[in-house]
Amino acid sequence: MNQPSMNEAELGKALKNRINQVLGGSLHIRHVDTGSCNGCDFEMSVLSNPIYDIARYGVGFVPSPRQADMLMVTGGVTRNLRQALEITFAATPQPKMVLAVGACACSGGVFSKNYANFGGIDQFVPVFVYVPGCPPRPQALMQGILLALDKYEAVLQRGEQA
Amino acid sequence: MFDIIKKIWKVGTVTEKQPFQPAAAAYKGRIRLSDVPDTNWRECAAVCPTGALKVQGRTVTLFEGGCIFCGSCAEACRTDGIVQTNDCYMAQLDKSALYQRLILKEEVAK
Repeated sequence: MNQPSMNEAELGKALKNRINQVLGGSLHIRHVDTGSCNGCDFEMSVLSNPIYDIARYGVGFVPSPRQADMLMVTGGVTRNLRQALEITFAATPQPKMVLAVGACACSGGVFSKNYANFGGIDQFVPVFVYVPGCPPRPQALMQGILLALDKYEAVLQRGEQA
Repeated sequence: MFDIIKKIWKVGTVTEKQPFQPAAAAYKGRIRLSDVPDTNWRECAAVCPTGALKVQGRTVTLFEGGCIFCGSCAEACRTDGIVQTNDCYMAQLDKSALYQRLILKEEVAK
């Protein structure tokens, strides 16, 4: 698996090309909040504003997991939202990608593991790409999506269930 | 209506062109560890709010998945052993790739 270029100059162009190549036009993302502080959520909503404008690469946020190719999960899993995460994951059509956004989704972050927080989404769903940061920059999220597409292509070629 | 057109004319395109500008120099990004003698590794690890920076024997481990990039360790560090850069591209396919390990030449001072 060749790593895509981390060069900032090529990030956007590469993202557009890869989405066309791998997914045939567009990438649909469903956002799942499993108990985050909303820091990462704001950075994600910033992606679709006029400044970063991720729609120009063919990426869009959809309101239902049934339409989504990718789940972007923010927040370490709280006890109440564990079920929501599992149901959302089950409702997403195969093959699906999961992006762990932020320190909490990667490992629990400042909340760590306690009575209310499981700490890290990888205990419940298979994670494609970890995007650390508290919160990650929008550019870093775009790099994360780009990395996930590489793995997705390999999964599609093998005809494997992700 | 004229106000809207005036505003569109004045503001112009705000969408960031490729390439993106790099993050501001003060942006708190990736922490870089390097083996500098006489670094107070234990004090640096003690101020970490999430326990992402750990010192065990001669090994210093930084888990980027748990790090919140607050920069407390870089502030507490008396040498250039811990430096905070403005690099924000840290996404990894594998969780094990999120660990930064540094094996020190000398024993860590108590």
